[in-house]
Amino acid sequence: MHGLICKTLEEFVIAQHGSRVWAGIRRNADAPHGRFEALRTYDADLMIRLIDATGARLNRPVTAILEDIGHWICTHPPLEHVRRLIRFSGRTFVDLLYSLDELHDRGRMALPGMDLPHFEIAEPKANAFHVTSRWSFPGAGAVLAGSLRAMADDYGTLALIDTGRARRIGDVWIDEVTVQVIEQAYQAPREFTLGGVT
Amino acid sequence: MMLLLEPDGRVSHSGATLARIAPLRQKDRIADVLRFVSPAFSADMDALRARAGGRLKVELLRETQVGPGERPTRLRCMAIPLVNGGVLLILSFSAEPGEALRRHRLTAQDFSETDPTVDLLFLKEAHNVVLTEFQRLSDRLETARQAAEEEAVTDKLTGLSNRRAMDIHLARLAERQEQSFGLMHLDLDFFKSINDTMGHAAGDHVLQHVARILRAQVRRDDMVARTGGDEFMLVFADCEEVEIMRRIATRIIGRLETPIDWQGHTCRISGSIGITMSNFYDEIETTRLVSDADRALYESKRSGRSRLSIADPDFAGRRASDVPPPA
Repeated sequence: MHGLICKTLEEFVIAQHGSRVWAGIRRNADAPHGRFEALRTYDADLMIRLIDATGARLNRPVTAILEDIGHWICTHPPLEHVRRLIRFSGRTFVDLLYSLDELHDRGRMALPGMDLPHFEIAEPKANAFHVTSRWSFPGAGAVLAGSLRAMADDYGTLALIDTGRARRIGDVWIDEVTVQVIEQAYQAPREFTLGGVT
Repeated sequence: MMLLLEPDGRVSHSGATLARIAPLRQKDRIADVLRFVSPAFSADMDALRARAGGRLKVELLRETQVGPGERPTRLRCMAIPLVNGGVLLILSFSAEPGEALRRHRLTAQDFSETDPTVDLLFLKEAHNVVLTEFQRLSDRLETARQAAEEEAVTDKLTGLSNRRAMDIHLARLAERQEQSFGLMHLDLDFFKSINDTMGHAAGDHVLQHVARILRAQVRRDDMVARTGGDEFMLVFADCEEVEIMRRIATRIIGRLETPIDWQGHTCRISGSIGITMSNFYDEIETTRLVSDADRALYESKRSGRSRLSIADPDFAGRRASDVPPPA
């Protein structure tokens, strides 16, 4: 698994709960010594052990933690670049939803070797969206739901976002997320100027 | 971004983004609005039609937000002749649009859905994120490398330099040649019996004590290394007088002979020393200096220990001159 994803869990737990809690989780998950490096690849089983150990330590369901992580990566000020990169996906929240099917390729364009989930988007009824996620790990739907909630706020959109059922076919985990857009321009969006990075 | 020019050279329409960067006025003509800079030519319709399809570069004469001393934004441009005799100008940002975007506070809304500029900007930001991460990684590796290097040249027990560090130091001195320095080789006397009778912990304690004694005898640019179990080498920088070396060696032996306390027991040691000076030689050759100092040390051991000997490199095979320490 890409180090950037592993590091996200690490930084989330440290930022929210402190490095002693993270050290305890690492011990319980039987993780090797040291911090994750964003530009290396790690064993996927290790990551799954760490997520389970995090749920056990924080006494919360794993999906709730993953939703928090999804929200956190879009709102945590030091990770402003993540929010910015997502805002490049579209002018409006609905544009963003319709660009989710490009996310996997965008990730790969930014960082070869980055393996983000494949998303498919459908709008069976007007403003009622259905996102299907396919990934080699469980939990992509929960992370997406958290991120979409944060990005709806960012775009000033009022929307209801829920995780649906999750199933596994062979090595692929299929998660579903439903998004109901109630009012696209509910409040003023957060600023997004292009060329913000020098 | 586009501009529509009528056959007579009037500007009849401007795209929204272009209008935001450089607002049009009523009855603007092409020469009021654009300057062709590369290739440079005067802005008239005939010249423009002649260059249809080629790559042009323009500056916008009515560009807003250009601070004093700042250059106007340069745009790429292509002219497309129209059947009515007018010309359509298609404009785009250069390869690095960042400054123009900041200057005019453009957002994704200012680009058409088919314009790849926004994707280019996405890539640029993603690239920056990755580069920053690489920079951090490289900083962490550098810190780790320095720590490893430090460790590789330090003797763990005493904190003195080790044999490797001494070899590097001597090689550097030999490279420079011009500097005069003194080399001292010290071997502890009676140390083995402490290790044997009182144990290794006592031995380690004594070695650490010796390290403190030696460190107190050197200056900042000198070097003290533990080069073996109970062997030490000292290099005294900028030292021309063998007499100085002799005084320092005598002082060291005196300090070593002061009994050392170890958990209520008394440890007694001494030291044998061999000395050589770089100015004994026409050419500084480290292996030769080290072996001469070693031979002098052996001479001290052979003639009764607790003393120093000065190497005599003029007679390499000859016995080094015995110099018993003054009482």
